[in-house]
Amino acid sequence: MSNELISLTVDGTEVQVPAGSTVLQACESIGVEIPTLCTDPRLDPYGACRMCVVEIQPGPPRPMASCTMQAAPGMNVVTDSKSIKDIRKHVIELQLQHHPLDCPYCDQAGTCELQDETFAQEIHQSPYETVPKAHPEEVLNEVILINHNRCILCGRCVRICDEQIGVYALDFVHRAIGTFIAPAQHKEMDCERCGMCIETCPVGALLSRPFKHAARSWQTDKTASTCPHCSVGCSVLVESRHGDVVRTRTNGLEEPANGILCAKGFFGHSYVNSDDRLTQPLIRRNGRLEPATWREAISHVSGALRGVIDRNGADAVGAVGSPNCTNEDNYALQRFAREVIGSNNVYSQASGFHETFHALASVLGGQALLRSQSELLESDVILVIGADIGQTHNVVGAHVKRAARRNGRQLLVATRLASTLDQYAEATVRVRPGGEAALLAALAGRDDLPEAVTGVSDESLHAMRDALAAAGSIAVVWDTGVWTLGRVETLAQAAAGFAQAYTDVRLFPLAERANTVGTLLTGMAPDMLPGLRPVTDADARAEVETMTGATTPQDPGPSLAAFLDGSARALYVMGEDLVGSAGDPDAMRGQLEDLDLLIVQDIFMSPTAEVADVVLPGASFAEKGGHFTNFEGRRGPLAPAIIPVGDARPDWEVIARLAAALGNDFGWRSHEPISDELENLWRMPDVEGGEPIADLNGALSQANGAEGFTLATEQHLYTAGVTGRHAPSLSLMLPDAVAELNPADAQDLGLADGDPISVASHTGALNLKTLVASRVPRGVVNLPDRFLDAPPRRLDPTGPNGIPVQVTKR
Amino acid sequence: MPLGSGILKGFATVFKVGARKPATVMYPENVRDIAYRFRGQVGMRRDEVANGLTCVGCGLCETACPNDVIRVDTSEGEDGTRVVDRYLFDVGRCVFCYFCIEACPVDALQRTHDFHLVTEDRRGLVIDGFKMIDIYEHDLENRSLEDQNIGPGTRPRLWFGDD
Repeated sequence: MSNELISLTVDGTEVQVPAGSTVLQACESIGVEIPTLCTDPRLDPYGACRMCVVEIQPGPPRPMASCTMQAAPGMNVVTDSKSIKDIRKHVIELQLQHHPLDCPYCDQAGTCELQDETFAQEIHQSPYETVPKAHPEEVLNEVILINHNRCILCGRCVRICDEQIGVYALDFVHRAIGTFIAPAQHKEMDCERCGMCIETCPVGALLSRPFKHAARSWQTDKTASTCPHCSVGCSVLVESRHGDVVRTRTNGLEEPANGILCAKGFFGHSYVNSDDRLTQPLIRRNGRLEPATWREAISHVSGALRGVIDRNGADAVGAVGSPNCTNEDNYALQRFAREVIGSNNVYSQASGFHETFHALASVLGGQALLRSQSELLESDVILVIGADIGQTHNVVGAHVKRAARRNGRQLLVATRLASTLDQYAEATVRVRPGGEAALLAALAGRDDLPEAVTGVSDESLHAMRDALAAAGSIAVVWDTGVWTLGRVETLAQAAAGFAQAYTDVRLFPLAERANTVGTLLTGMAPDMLPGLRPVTDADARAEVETMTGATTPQDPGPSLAAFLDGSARALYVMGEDLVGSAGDPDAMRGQLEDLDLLIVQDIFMSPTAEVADVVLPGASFAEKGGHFTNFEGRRGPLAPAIIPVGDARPDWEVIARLAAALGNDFGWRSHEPISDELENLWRMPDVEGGEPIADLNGALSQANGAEGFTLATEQHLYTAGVTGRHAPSLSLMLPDAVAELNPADAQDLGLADGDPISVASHTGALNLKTLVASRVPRGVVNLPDRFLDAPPRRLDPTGPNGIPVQVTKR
Repeated sequence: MPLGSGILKGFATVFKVGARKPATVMYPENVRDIAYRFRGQVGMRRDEVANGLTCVGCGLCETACPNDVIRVDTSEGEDGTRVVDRYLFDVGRCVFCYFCIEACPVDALQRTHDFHLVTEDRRGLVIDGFKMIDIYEHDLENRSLEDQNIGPGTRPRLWFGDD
């Protein structure tokens, strides 16, 4: 759309709109309401419903659909003549001929566009003999069902799945009066379960099974919030009723979600009201965790902390924050640790992203990172490397697909497994698990890395190099989840080398969890204050003290591992499962049991909480205010939709009360003062770059010569860690820890879906279930991370990606 | 006026009134006749087939209620239809406007003449759908014949399926 304005007349009023606008947009720009059924701002005009008809002079002597008609200079549009009104009324009357009037039973009632139009057109009786259809409801998959009787065939579900998500799981079947909507082959709908077809359906034809009959649409309280699942930070509308979150929906068309959500965002909220939530403080007495009141718990914790500080000094106390908690929670915890306890032993476990960030920032400077999603989508070439971002960051994946298909961006996909982006890619290569950094280095110009290392043929490599060299701007996107474990530094250095080899390279290391970037910027590190100010910098410490009044000890703390091996006597863990996520859980459990005091604040009873001395119930994303920081550094606001379950309290509040009990009241009675305080300290990192790129020779040339399978550790779309385990609708999609195998490999081993299987490395073995998946190449076995009972890092604590493993039938 | 006539007049009034039939009745042993449009507690019709609530859980009564009296909790039943898990009615908040009865699309809610709403505990004022069925059926038994089908909310309504 150009900036040139054209003028036309709508109902006698002069309108100026940009050239290329539709007549519908022109009418809406001056507030002339035109009824529509098949229009959705996320979709291209389609012209199915004929509700938006208008008369156009000069023009054809018949009513024209305004949604598909381009506005032209000098047009005279009439929207409210008698014949136009008659047509609109007639359209609805015809729709109602087959539409069942079961509004009291229908979940869409209240948000139904057909219902609204029936009222608006003042239809009280049908002039036709009504013939309601009587198809039974059809279950499409675990979460979606369709009621063909209510369908008005507007095609919005078909189009949103195609245009926005790029999956195209639904289509029209048959013709004319017999048309209906169905998945391919009329079988189960094997899609990404994003729920966007449900979201866009104007009537109650496509329905969410988890939400079915849970509440009427007008009865719910609607709260704008931010999705807690990955670092895209989509804005969601949380709908709650009587203290239960009943569903989440999209909220507006703004960045970063642009009006869509993924399976986790749409169906992954039900952990909030899980029966397994911690609802009261627990104190260990006589070896058992027993319920206690908050008053008891706070005085117990403050007394015990005071005791440890008096006996062993402040350096014996540490605090671990969480990428699942808000900026405010993490900020409160680090201020508590630094000011009240007097220790810089502040940690967070999101090492993948943090290390990537520091490595890249030291070479390229902090300004080169945390770029916005629009810069990603506007790059000429988008290179996706390593993990399939369609699985790890589904919404960004959908946007990338759309950019490639609709906006002419060149998409290059270099993933280990077949990805959901492949079909829209200009070039697709399968990189060998473990060879990702080598491929980046090879693309940046190194010729000494053979196919045995990267898994990519010279021919493909040169084709990709040519595409990259011709591009004006390049975006490199990679997930920093578990697959980068042990290779973070190598990958980051290779990416930095790549950035220097081409012009205008934008790097997008995608953080794993909702607030991973927030933990970085709120100072959850032993050597960094909020806003990435170094602890060792006296000016920075003074700056923080002037702005907040909080003092900071001047010596940076040791790393978490060194702290636990060394001086640790007490640990405060907020929203993190140290045992479950450890490479060697038994060793970690032993270390935690040896502590004098372990305080765990969480929403579920985790393996870490089981060895704690005090367990404090925290609030989930729907129960507290604050902000999550997404992969762009954008802060998405959270608002409390329900009051916390049981006695659970927001994490910042627990910390503030504890600080007050230890004689240092921060004066926080809501999250807003913390947000304000953090706002003053907030800054995008201005780390100086310029350090040379490390020599990667040794790290890159590791070819995997061993017999057997190569391990890939790639997150699955439906795995969401502990929250996913407690969200029934997500658990339905992928119930057990699985090992994904190529169909041919599975056949060779005599395995089918669900068969027990054992995956063993030189250090350990995992028992899992088989999932036959064509996305896995031959000779590769993929273990999705974040199943608590089978984390892949148990197979190699230093980095399981690309190691040789033995796969046997159990 | 002669002395003492005032007191005689007073006595006369006392005897006259004392001999009159009393306007009050000895409640609860005796109960007054009730006008047939009297607005008593809202009752619920029994679904004879399922032997349960007639309510389909549409929530319109909850929405129509000006006083937040009603709460309907629903979920999906085994056959995919909506089932009412719980129907709660807080008599203590009710102003007997009968908007809920007007709103009910399946005529599950019914007027009754029952006004025996007294309890010893405020919590007893919150009744559930099955208690409302009892109230309605008990009221129906004790109503005179001409009352049976008259009054707001009991008129059969045109609804989908029977037009």
